[in-house]
Amino acid sequence: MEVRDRTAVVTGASSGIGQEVVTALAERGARVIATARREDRLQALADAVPGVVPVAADVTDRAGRARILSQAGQVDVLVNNAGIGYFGMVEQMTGEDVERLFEVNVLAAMALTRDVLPGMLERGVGAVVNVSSVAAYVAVPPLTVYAATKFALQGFSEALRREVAGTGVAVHTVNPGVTRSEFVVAAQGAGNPLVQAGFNAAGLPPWAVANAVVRAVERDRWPGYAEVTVPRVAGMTRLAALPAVSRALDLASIPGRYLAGVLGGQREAAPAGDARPGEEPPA
Amino acid sequence: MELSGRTVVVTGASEGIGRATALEVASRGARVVAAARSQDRLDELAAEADGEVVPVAVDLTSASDRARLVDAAGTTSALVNVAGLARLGPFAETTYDDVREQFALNVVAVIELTRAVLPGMLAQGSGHVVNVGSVLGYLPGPPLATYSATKSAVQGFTDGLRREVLGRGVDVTLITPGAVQGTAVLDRAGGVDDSSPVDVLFDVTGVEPEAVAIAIRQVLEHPGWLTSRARSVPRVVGLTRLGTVPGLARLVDEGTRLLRDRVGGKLS
Repeated sequence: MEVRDRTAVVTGASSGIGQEVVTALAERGARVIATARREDRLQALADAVPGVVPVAADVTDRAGRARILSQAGQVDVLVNNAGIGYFGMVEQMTGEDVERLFEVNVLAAMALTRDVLPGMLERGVGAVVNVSSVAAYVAVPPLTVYAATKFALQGFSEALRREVAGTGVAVHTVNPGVTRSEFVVAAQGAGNPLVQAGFNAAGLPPWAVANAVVRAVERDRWPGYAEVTVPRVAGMTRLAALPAVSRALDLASIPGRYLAGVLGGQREAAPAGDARPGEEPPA
Repeated sequence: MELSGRTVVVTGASEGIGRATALEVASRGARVVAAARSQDRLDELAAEADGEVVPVAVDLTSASDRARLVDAAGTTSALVNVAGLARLGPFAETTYDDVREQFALNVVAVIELTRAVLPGMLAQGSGHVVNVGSVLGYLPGPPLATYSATKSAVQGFTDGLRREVLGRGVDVTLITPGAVQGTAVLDRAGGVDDSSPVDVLFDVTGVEPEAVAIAIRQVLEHPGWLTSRARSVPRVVGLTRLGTVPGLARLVDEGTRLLRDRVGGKLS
């Protein structure tokens, strides 16, 4: 789809991948509704990039979603990018943590998609991009429940793309590996500086993921959707569904668990600062 | 593991796979703690069972009800998460409450019940969590987009959980049934229409709930990473996991599209 003069809604727009997606779409001439909870960050983004409309809202909140959509009007492109991370063993989580993860990473994305889908189907044009993760293909501790949310988002995207195939509406997923964003800072239990240093050193720059998002939206050729990992080679994680690979991962998890425990898998409070969980794009 | 004298919690025990599992496991001498919403149906189950069934009427989406269930169970040897809800229809016509309701029961309740029994199992150095997923977790598709998403989540959670507790005495099994006879797929209005094409399709092609119950009983009796990690019922539907291989995924896309265009209107 040509994005010029189209209206795009991007969630989790105040930092990382979301911010880069907003910039890239706006530079290509789209009108971009940038949404996140931190108003000051959105305003700064809107001041710097022409064509950006900031809407401070919580996507897990019905009224927040309604405000985003009323500001947007007709939506041609929806980028579900908001997500929270969580490093922690299942037994150490709280019930609120579990519910919050599903609300932000899955239910909010599904709700927004539900709201914009009828209009897209009626006009016979539209693109939904779900920013997922390689954790949608492989679930390992201490990211078990986080991975479960990304499995859900992936399953939803696959089912929906099969449902709307041939209607002119495309459902894409972009699955980044480790990304240099505020994910680690925002993730619960990510207090260990070594983990953060690892993400910063080995992580992809957010713009690389944003490029993949924009390419997915612009993609018109067969099969009409994109399911891309960033970097491409991370697509190998899909093989984790195969029994032999899955078993190998089981065995690898034993030393992996030990390492994660050493590196800060133990539950710690999220670091202080303005980066709150609930805001940031996934790794 | 000898089931005799052990406590097995079975959710969704008022019908289908859950009911069959409760009967099957109780007949092997286990103390079955049967959870579902309907007290009447659980009482019927307890009367019919050839063994001990403790009926506990609960709404599994309620935290206090879950706590009540875990209290009633006491020391738990195995948790079998069967309860689930499927609502049929195009995603564009679904409601947010539909989506939330399916996630609350199919995913959050499963994780929360597991979290409730896990510390005890780890402390005693033995235990077994059996989660019932679906082949739609491997191969998501319409007209069950939300249900597919919930079952994908169960699959991811089960994988991660197994990797978390492997070697600590707790077994984790994912059961992935294909079509099952008598499955209550709800229509948009929340009713069950036995004559809908999906129900007819399930009844013609599906396995009996007892077949899934037997598979669950077998993995409970013979836990272990080598043999009882994951089981599809019937076994052949395990091939659906190849659906994640990109080339094959495209084939499924085209197949679903053909099917949808031919009979889709009748399915939803």
